[in-house]
Amino acid sequence: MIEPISKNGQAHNAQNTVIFLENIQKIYKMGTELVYALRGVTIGVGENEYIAIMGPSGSGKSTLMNIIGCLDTPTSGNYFFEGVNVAGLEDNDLAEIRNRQIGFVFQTFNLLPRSDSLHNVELPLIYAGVGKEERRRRALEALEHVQLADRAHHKPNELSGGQRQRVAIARALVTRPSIILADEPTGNLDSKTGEEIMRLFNELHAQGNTIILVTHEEDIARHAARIVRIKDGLVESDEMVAERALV
Amino acid sequence: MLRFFHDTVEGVRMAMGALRANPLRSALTMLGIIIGIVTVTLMSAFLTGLTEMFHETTSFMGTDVYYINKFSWGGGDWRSQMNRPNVTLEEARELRQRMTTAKAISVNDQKGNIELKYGANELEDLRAVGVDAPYEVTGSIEMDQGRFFATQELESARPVCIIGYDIWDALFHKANPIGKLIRANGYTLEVIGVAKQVGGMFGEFSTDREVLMPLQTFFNAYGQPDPMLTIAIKAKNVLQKEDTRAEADFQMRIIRRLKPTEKDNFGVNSEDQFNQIFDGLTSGLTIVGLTITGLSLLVGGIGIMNIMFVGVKERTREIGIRKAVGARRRMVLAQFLAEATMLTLVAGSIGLLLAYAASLYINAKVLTADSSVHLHFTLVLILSGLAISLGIGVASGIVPAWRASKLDPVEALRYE
Repeated sequence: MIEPISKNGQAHNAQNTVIFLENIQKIYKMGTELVYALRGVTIGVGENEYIAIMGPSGSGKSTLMNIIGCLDTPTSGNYFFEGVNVAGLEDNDLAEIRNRQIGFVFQTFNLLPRSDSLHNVELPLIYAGVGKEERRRRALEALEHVQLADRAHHKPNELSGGQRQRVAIARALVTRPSIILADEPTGNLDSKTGEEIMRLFNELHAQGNTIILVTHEEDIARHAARIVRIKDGLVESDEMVAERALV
Repeated sequence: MLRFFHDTVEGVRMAMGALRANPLRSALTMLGIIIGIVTVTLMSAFLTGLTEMFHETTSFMGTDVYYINKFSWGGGDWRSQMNRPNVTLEEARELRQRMTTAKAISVNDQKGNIELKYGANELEDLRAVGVDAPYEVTGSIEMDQGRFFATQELESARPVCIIGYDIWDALFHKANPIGKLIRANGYTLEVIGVAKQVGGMFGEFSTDREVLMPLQTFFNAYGQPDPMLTIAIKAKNVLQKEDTRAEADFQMRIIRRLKPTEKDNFGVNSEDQFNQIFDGLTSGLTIVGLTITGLSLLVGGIGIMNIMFVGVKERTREIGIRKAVGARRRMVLAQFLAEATMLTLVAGSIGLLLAYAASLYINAKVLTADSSVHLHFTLVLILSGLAISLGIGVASGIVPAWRASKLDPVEALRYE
């Protein structure tokens, strides 16, 4: 296990920037009208940071998350991922970055319903071209990490919501990505299970992972060390959390 | 290369998973291809059998035998050929003296509508053939029982005959016919032999339904040579049979004193001409037969394409998940293409097995007659059946798979 970087759990380290978004704009065309989802967002995230992106619906928060997750590309601006500008990359190159550098955790878990936990966790490794033996070993390791090794051969519908989300987190961890991008990870869970999941994120952060949390819940956001608020496609505020919610 | 192998293996694995998850749907989808492959392969097996039977049965005529007739086989202006002079015994004699590339030259005459009687048994619609000694070679006559005519019998026009296998069967019920007297249109003949069975589609036109007798006996019984008189020339060397053909033509022109500008006023015919006519017929049959049965394969292919579109639509979210965790376009394409081709390959294999079983059954129970066509399964047929299945899989899977690979991950993940 990796030691937490700083004692109070605030591990902001601005020297080692993992991602840096510079004046990102995203403009959609709806019929003849132009919709400005993002109007020039600039954010940097350092290694082992734990940051929450907040905002009401329609704020551009989801668009920002899609761009950070390399699922979408900005209309203009630069996006440096580990120093590489990925703003203009094409589909297949973005797929490779998602595969190797980003671990996704979704509100609706997004597990393959017909596959067991092990196969779901293996999935990113298949696309990374990892051989079967090693894949299996690493997937089991990741499942152990979220205390679900005994559920390796259960399908999602045989698991509770919290367990499903932990499988999804194992899937996000298995490639040892640069960032973990969690989109409302507790949105479909009851508050007790939600707390368990947030505790897991705190642990992952303490172990050195960089976590970006997208949420509209203040309570959830307060687990992060830093909160970026988005409104009308712009960064409204970007501040460190004085009193983190520690579970 | 290694990566490509990895991708292919994983694509096939994913496809198998998807097919197993929906067994009923997979089975129903395959049904169209199964039916298509069964009909197409049975049709092909039939056409192969038909062609083979024809070539087998025409070979009773001998591939190295040429026939000099008044008429040319297979085409030409029949009315102008009517005015040609008849082929004569004298011409046969002259050819025998002149030709150097012939192994044997025979002359024969025939008459149809012959009725045979033995005791109370009667058989109609037969042919009488008057033959000479070389006919045993040119006509490839092999004996089932008894013997061929002796020289003395031929020269003195003895009333003896050799009967075909079918005649023996019908007239004597396979009892010993040697030495028995039969009446052919009122003319009494003694049976000295039975020719071996030819069988097949052309058994009708072979020695099976012929009664052979010495040429002079034939003339005594049925009158003088008619326009059907045939000179048969067997080539000395099969490999140089074209030389024999050319010489026969050349010598006949000399015998008939034709000027270089004049056209042949006789026909030099061979079995190849029959085959050519038949090949024209079968290629027509092949095109029509395979087009019609191929339609069922087309329908099967459309079924696959349809189900693939449905599958892609249904699994939009799955595709979104796969893309989010890093599936490149090529991998998504490979997965769905593998699914379509596995459907068609499995269906094609089942179809081939069923068609093979059906052909065994049909050959054993339906097309039992010796003379009828048999369905013929060949390795080429099996391999092309599999290749066609694979081709249909790719053709019907490529568009849905391409569409899946082009899905926008954000949209796909949002899909309910």
